[in-house]
Amino acid sequence: MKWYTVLVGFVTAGLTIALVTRGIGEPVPAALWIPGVNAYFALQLTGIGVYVAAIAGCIGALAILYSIKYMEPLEEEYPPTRYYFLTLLFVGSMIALALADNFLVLYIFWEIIGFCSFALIAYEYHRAKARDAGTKAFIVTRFGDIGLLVGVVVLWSWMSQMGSDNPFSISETIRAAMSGYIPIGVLSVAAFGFLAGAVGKSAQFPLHVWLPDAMEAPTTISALIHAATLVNAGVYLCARMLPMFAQVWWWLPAVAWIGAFTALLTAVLALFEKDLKRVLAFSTISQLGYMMAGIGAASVFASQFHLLNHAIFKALLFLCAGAIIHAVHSKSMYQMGGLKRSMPVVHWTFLIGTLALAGIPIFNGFWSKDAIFEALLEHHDYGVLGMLILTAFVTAAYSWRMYWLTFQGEPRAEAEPHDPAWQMAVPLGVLGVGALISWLYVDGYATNLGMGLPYHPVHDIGLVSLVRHTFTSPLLLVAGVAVVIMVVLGTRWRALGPPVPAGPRIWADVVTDTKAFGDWFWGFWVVAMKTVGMVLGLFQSGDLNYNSLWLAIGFIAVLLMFLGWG
Amino acid sequence: MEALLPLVILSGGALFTYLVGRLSRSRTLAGFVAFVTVLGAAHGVYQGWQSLEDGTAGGWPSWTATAPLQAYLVTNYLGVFLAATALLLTGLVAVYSMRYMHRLNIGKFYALLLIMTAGIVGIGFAGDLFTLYVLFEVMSIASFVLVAFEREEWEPIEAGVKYLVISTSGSLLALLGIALIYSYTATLDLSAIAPMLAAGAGGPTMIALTAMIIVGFGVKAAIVPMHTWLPDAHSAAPSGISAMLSGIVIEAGLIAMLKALVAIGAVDFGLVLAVLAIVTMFVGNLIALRQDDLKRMFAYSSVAQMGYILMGVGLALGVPHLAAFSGMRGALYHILNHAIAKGGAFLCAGAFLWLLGTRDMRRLSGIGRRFPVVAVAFIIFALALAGTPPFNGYFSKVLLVRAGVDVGGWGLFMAVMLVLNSVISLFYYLGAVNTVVFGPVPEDGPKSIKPLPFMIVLPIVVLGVLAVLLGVYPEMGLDLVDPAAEQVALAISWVFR
Repeated sequence: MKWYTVLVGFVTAGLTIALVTRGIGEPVPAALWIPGVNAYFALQLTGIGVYVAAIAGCIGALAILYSIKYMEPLEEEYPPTRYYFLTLLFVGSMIALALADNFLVLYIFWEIIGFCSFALIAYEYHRAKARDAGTKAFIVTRFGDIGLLVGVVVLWSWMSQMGSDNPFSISETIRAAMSGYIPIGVLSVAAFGFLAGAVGKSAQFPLHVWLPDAMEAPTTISALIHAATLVNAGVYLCARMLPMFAQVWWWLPAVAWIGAFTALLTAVLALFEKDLKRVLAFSTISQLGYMMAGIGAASVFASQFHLLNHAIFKALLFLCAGAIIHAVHSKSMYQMGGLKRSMPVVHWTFLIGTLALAGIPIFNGFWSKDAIFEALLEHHDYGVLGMLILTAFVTAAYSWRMYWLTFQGEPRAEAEPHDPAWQMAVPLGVLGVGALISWLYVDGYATNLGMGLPYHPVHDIGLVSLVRHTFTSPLLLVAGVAVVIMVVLGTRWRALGPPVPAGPRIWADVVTDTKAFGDWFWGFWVVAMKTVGMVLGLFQSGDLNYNSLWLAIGFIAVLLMFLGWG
Repeated sequence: MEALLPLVILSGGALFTYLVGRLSRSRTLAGFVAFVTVLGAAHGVYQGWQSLEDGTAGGWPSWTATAPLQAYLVTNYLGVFLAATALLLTGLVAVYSMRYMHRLNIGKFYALLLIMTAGIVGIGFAGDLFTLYVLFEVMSIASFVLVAFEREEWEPIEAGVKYLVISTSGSLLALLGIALIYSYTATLDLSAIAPMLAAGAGGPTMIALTAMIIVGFGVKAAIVPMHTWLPDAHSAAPSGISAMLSGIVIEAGLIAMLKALVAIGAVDFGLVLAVLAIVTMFVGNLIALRQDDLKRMFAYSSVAQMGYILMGVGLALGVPHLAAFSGMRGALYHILNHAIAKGGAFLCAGAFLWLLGTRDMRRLSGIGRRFPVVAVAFIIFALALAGTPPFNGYFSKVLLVRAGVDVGGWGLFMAVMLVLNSVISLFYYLGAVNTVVFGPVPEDGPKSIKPLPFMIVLPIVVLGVLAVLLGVYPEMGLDLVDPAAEQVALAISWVFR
């Protein structure tokens, strides 16, 4: 069964790659699905969508291969059928989401990946924490989905009132919007709704609180959620709708500022976190902030290029983290250290991932981060740009700290760590090479990205011009400063030992555990809801006299309402 | 004649089932007879549908009614919709109760079940207010007895009495309203009231009788604050009956109210219903958050779901030129989806109750894992009720949101409230799933548990499959819903033109 899943995963990966090489822009026949509302089950092979699908397929396949060995210890407690079923459903739904050309189809798969994330985060359901984290992920993202659903229906309502015979079609809606058939008022409501949905799924402030808790999931699932599937959905959605909503004056700045603020906030949080997986979680939120800011600069290429590169190095980092936790039996970085010698394969691949995350030339994260900076500069978003440059420095610091705590210094773990089995090492190797060279593909990526998307501003960028442009730009200084930060920190830590605090740091734990107090905000509403429920319950006394009284009150209330409005 | 046929079959079948149950004392046999009766009635309803499609449909009696108090049934799409939903649920509950119910008084149980269904079917086909009221009472009286059916315990008796008192107060209010209407119009024919009433009655009278109709039928439809009887009755009733009550009886109350309101027309009550709808969904959901009793939680969630349905009705009646069709479509489709999902949820809760003898979720913790089929169905129903694709609830919510968006302004606000409420509801639905299926098994729980009988699992599976099918292919439901929604929308726009 397990190897069958691996086979399915790799066949899927092959098919998604085939879509990239042969399919982009090809028409796909649509089937009439719900005639009563003129909904078609329609797919469209847009450049953006096909790449998101390919990322989901390929990284999904590697994660499944990795799972074979990684999930073995859990198999006795939790029969693995559920795991592999949900994983395949997760990857498949993400692919369908990315290829959908129908808002209803998109919404359905959007919710299915939400459900899959719930079920997979709560996979080890014997632990109450895992159950709670899964529930939280589902509910918090669904808060954003309120907006998405209303936005979808607003567009549907307008399109069908205009007499469209395919009112759910994404491409036709965009075309209508670009031709000025949809008034700005309608677009504004939809734009707000879609942004809310994307903020929920892509874990942007203030809905970022679920993602660090989602670290209760098995690490392979974290890799899937963070690199291949769930969180990419929000960025994809914004990129896909970009030309339509760019007409709304506040939409692009809103996206950019939300992204930049989230990026900075969570990068600072990552600086104080002690749990390896949670550092990676914060870094994911932060990097997603970069992508959102890229969209805010109206640059589809920059944000999607970063999405591709981030998917590769973040999957790599998570799978490495999985191997480390597997070997050390602890998630706290303060109990790791010195793994450089005992786990050489993991060490080198993790180092590549760290450098890519920190945006060090010539690793893949560097190129796309720089592209985002360039786009912001061209778009004159100087405030956002300044915030993100600051974030880049913090990113260099926290990723370097993460690497040093884990691999350098003296071993602090009690276990005997060793390199993982080949089922786990192969995906690491593939992704490590990917993180080194994926930017070389920029030529084909930029060419294909805009295909099938007539209104998206995607410029062709050749490899040579990318290199020349990047290395002659003043923004190269950002990477330079990041290198300096890492050299300084590295020298210091080499002399004084890795930054392990002497005692417990309660304030840091409080701030990171509550996600900079964002959790308290949502916790407040939960408590408020339960309190109101309790108060309402008091009126539900079960006493027949009171029940009759309520009947009378109801009658009087209805009469009063009529008198007031009639 | 087609309209009368299902009523005759159901009433006759009730009598026969009682005799069979009394004489044989076999649950299987009585249940089987009841099931066959339901099939027969369904055939009758199907014939009615066919005659509507052919355009040969008529009423009963077929000669033109001249006397105003003539009992009078009309074959119509709304009735077909209500009857189909009711018969689906009744048939499955009949199968379920073959093992769930005790052998004692089994004949009475099935007879009452069929009479209650006859009342529901009659509400759909009623052509004048008097018939509507009489059949509404037939449904109500049968349901009082069914709630208190397990009479050797105190809880069902108490719940039954509360239900009886509150519901009868409401019915009397509705009857008073109907009497007022009759005093002004000298007719009770649903299609003839509106113009005569507009000519005869003044503004204050109209307001008074509209309020009486809303509150009177609203008691049965569990509109807050007239919902107080519901949590007790739905949790204390035998689980099959809980499924019926939540799945179709309260909805039948709403349909009775809708028919009466459309008939009297002329008062702008859309906004009133909208306010009631918002209050209803919030109160239902927020109180449900705090329940430990599984069936009570589902009962409160039924209140909330009635709020969603009422929102569609309110939008349709309040802004007929924008939302008459889309609001009715959403409301009726949600009735169908709710009947399937909530019916299934109550049957699952009943299965757990049958196994462990408790409804307390802390005691039921982890029971689902021992019965994977029921557990999967339970998860499907919970997600469907929370409106999660690809299970059936989401589509009707999309339609309801559409109605709100079509209206714009406060309609858009209501749409957002509806989706917000479905997120709030996810808290307790997921909470129930987390406890009942994934929670830890209590240490002092029973070591060995008897297997679930096939007849209890079968209806749950059927409803689960339907919940998935209607979610993946919503057109199936639209075939049933759309003609009914069109019919009501036409009537609304005719009355409110």
